[in-house]
Formats: sequence, structure tokens, C-alpha cells
Amino acid sequence: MKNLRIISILSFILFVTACNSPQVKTDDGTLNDQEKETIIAEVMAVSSKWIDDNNAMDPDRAIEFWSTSDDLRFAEFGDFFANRDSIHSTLKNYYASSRSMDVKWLSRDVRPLAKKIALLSGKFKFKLEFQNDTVFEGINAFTATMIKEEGKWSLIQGHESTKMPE
Amino acid sequence: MKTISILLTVGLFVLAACTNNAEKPLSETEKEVLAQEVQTTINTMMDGMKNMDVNQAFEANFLLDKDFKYIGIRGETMNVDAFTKEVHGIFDNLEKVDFSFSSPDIRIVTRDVAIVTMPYKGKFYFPGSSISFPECGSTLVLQKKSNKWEVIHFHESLQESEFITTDL
Repeated sequence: MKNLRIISILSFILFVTACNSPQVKTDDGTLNDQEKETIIAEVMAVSSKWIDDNNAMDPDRAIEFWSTSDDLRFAEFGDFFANRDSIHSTLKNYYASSRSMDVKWLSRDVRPLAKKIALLSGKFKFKLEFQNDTVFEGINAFTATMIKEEGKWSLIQGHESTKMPE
Repeated sequence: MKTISILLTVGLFVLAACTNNAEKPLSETEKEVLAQEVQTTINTMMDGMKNMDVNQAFEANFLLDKDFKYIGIRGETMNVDAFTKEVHGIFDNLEKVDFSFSSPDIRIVTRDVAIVTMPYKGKFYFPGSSISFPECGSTLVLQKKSNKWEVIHFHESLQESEFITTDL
């Protein structure tokens, strides 16, 4: 009985020690098909909402696509925005002086990398009509690393560039 | 017997806590170590580009699978086959190349995902012609698999596309 007790205590100590040792839990993309499908559906929904918010010319809703994290980085045509506020400000300026915005995804691909990280890439077509009758239109290529924080997907790092005529 | 039961019960609680899949936040030291690993991969890539060696630059450091995508300076999207053809078409026919890379900005997103942004300038010298571009912004998404960092997505764009010049 005494031996059994000693063995139990030793096992317990070993177990606790093992659990408290430096442990690297890698969220390495070993996702099952169901998890991948869920991530793809969620990121597709968020990116669709972003398009809808832009078509509604609502900068306050459109900005929700970008993460509020200080780690956010977003480059448009090779230049990085300073921060999320500067993206928001650009959107507000565009839509305050616009008559209409028509934007739609031409293609989209979501690649789940881990439970809370996914890569979104694709192309969208846009046509922005300003109140002074000028029109800004084109096709943009888009890369976004999306993260899920507090149950919500948002862009943590992105790169947008213009597709030139073939 | 009572003591053993208590120990077993406590052990089960500890087991439940230890098998929690929540990822521990990265420490600054861990980030530095991982960033150094990524830097090594990017250095190899840059050296390969300078050496006009497609294998060293891309094939050895890129996960060239069916999901790989490259968005080029003209906004065109290429899959693995098109990308491989493109880089071989350029680098295999070069006489000389001049690259000037700015220091890469490395972001460790998780222990297995990193993002690198890196502006560079370049001039390609082909037999009888050359192409130069002044400032190319690139974003590379890397994933660590089997203890190796590999580029899974590559997006490039020019700040001033009209500055691409071709000399004959």
C-alpha cells in the first residue's frame, strides 16, 4: 500500500512537471475538412460584406474589414498606409466626394492556414463615380492575411495592386 | 486508498488543463528566433536572385504546390506552373542582373505563419536589351512545415508602374 502511494505521488509529480515544461503548441494547419470549410465560408462572408459596405459607400462599416490591432499593415499600389485611421480617412474622403461605387469580386480564393489564420487572395473590379463626373475604375489584385480575434475575422496584413491591361 | 483517489482526480484535472489546445502567446524571444529563421530563408532567396539561380531563389524556398499563387507586377495571378515558367523564362535568359534589396520587414504572425514585406529595385540585362524598375514592393507569406519555412504566396507591385523602362 505504501509503495502504491509513493508511485502515485511520483507519477503525479512527473505528470505536473511534464505539463509545465516549455511546450510549443503548434497550430500548424492540421485542419480537418470541416474546419477548412468553416474557415473558407467565414472569410468569404467577411469579404463579401466588405464589398457590400463599399457599394453602400459606408466607410465606417467598410473599415471593420481591417484589424484594429497595432500590427495591421496594408499596402496599396506599393505604398503602406500609416495605420488603420489613415485607411479609414481615405475611405471617408473617397465616399464623401463620390456619387456611386460599384465593386465586385471577380475571383476569390481562401486558403486556411490554421484555425485562426487564413490567406485570402483574388481580384475585384471597381468603378467609382465622383460628384465632379470623373470616374475611377479598374481591376485590383488583392492579398490579405486574415486573422480571427474574439470570434471575428479581419485583415492583419494586405497588399493591393492594380491589374494592368493584358 | 482515499489519497490515491484524490491524486487521480487532481491528475485528471491537470490532464484536462494540459491538453487545452489554446496556443500560448509568442514571447519576444520566440519571435526573434523565428524571425531569424525567416530571415535566413529570405537571404537565400535574395542570394539566388542575385546569382540568377532559379532553384536557389525560388524552388528551394517556395512551397510550389497547387495552392501556390503569385501576383505579379502587372496584377496578373499565376499558379505554380505559370510562375515556374515565368521565372525560368526571365532568369535562365539573363546575362546579368542588378538587385538592390531594402531590409525585409518580418512579421511573425504565429509559430507557423510569417509575413515578409520587402521593397527592391532591379535591372535585368538580357542579350541586346534590359528592363529596369525603380521600386518594387513585395509581400511574401511563409508557412513553416516540417521545420522549414516556405513561401506559399507572393505578391509584387510597382509604386510607379510607368517607370518600367526597356532599353534596346
